[in-house]
Amino acid sequence: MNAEVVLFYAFAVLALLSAGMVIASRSPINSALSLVATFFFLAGTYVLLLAHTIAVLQVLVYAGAIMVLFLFVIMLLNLTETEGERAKVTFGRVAGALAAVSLFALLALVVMGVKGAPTAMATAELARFGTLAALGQTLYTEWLLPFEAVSLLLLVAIVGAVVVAKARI
Amino acid sequence: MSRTVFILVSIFLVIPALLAGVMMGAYALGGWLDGVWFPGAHRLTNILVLMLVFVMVLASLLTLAERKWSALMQNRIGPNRADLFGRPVPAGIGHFIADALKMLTKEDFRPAKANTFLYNLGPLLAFAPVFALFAVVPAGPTLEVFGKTVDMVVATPDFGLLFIFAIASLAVYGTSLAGWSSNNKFALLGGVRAASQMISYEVALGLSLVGLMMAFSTVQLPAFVGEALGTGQFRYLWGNDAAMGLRPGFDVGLPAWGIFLQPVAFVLFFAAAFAETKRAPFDMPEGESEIIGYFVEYSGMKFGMFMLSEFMEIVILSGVMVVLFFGGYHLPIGEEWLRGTELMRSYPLLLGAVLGMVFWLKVLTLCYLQLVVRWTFPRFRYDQVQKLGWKMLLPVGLVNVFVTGALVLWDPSLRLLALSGLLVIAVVLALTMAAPGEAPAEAHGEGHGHAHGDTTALPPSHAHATGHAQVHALNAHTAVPQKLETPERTPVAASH
Amino acid sequence: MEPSPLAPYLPLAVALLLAGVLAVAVMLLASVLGPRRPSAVKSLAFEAGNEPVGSARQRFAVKFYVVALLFIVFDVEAVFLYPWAVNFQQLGWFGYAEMAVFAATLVVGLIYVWKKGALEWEH
Repeated sequence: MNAEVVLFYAFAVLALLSAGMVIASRSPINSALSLVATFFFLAGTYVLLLAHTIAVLQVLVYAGAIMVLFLFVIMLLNLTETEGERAKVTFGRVAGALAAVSLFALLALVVMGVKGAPTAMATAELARFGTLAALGQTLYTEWLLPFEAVSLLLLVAIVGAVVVAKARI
Repeated sequence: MSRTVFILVSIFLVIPALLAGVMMGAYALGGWLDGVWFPGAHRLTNILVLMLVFVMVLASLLTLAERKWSALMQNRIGPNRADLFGRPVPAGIGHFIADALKMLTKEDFRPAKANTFLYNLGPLLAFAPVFALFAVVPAGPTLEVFGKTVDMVVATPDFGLLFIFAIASLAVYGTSLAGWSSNNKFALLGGVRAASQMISYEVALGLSLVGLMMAFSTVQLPAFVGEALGTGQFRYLWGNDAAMGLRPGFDVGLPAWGIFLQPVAFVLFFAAAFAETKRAPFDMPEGESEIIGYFVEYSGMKFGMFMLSEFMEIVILSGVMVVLFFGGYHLPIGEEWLRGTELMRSYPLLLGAVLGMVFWLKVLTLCYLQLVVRWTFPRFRYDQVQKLGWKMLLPVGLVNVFVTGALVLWDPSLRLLALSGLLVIAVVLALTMAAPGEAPAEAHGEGHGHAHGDTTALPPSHAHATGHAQVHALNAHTAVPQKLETPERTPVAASH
Repeated sequence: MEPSPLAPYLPLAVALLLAGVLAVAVMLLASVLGPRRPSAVKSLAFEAGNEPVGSARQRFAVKFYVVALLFIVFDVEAVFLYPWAVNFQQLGWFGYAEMAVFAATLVVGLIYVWKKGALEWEH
């Protein structure tokens, strides 16, 4: 067992533990902080997969931006620890559970479909894999349309943010 | 008189010698460790020297420098009473040790209504990310020391600058958790203001540097600096270096530094990063005179960690600005000549000492600039901060990206970009020079204690500068009226 | 043995670890060295000498959420700019146009927010 495998298991176990804490902890703020920790350990796993850029963007966007919004909402809406009321079975919840299960099944199928270890790469190829330059090269040539579509998605998000708060600003 | 001599000698002899000495030691230590352990082990000594010795010590000394400098600007003497074993210490340096001891031995206090876990987590999350930031900043050239290749940087990940953005964005947690967990209304207000301000300026912070990334096609800090001649900022835009085949000998020219290529980006980045450090004029989260800040309930070392992280941010921000805009460890002119001299080629350690010293002197200059800014400008109002971030820095940053892009594509040698940059600098200088003289209206400064509150009673020369004048009047009230000519020194120890 | 492609990240991990350890160590040291003499008055919230009224857990203006949401949007935009900037000189004018379209869409958003007054803080 080499160092990379040890590190992988360390990150994986820690990520699972902190993800469990997100659900288990009573206080919403502790949940949010556990989620930040989860993102961090996931970033570590990404580095082990040579997806360095994704790792740093994970920290930058998820831990540094999205979770800040979560924390904002929790702190400023004054969400406190509440005894969760007994969950009622509603149509929405059943549908959500089904969707979650089928997503998981789909992911499992995809992962199991991967045959054997990934093909070995030459050192020169490895050095370029996952770098910011390589990512940009792919994104801005092959995936042009999805990239431009993201701008529309972001525009919708901006409009949504304003509309939601409109009465108060 | 003797004080002036003392200051001049420290600035021009003692500090450079100290910096050069420590840097030479760092290279020697790194080379030695590489030899006895494994190649690359010098990165560990780099962590030790750069992050623990330089950043931490400079940050702690800056706490003192800030007090001394503000005293100088307000015509006071500043801290001068901490004696060491009954002997006076020059420049109040004893205070920096006394402060550390005091903070460590103060009561470890916790308000009854605070959430213990989050209350303790706050200072940790404010301190740790900032401490790790310097890891990607190169402080010296790569050299052959004792037959080993030694560089002066902790890590060179592919994502370089993005590491700084990502880790710096985590500092928001420290301030907002501190503000919320203390269960104090002032602290909460400070925490919310801090978090909101920090995220507002983070966008401009990232956006401002995109132009430089385009010009140099990289995000790695060593690549911005340029290791080999002709790369990064280690070349001349116009000059007589060997690459241009002109006269050999002492090389002179205009270096391709970021400040000449992207002066607008420099101003944007400096403003945004300054807001991230939450220092005046961006100090609404701490506003000492009204809400005290998100750390109001913290005492002793826990408060010290917030304070220290602020000063570490100053050093790190200076380091990043030096790397991006001021050529890193490179000399503006004559470095090629220096590297070619017999002495430097036979003793690479000496070259490391000189260039390392150059880097840290630039850093110190920018630290000084930040202290000046902090003690010169009055605090913004909160709406002004938000307006500046969203309505000024963000649009200007976007425009800068596309203007820079067009100029870089037009002329990949970057000369056109530099011309536009120089033009901007010239325009800004001209506007500054030509600005209507508000200063003369204030010129009868010294005993300027009379209130300027009633604007209608003022002569016309004052009328246009009223806002300014009120600020000065305020300062005049709080500052000590005349300079105390005799240095006061009360012995702390009885033996004195 | 070939050096692992992960080798450049090792010192970074050490530095991050050191940052955490140092922060915890300093706090532990301070709590060991410092005395602890709590009293009822001392552990009240410090509100400039007044007795604290009510709880500090209060709700805040909705503006702060809008700012946080806008921050995420523009942060994501900036994230898209970094890989583009690094490849900029190879992508050439085509890449320039590509990003101009992307940014223009977001500038429309910014103008919308601006006109709606979501960036105004004074009433």
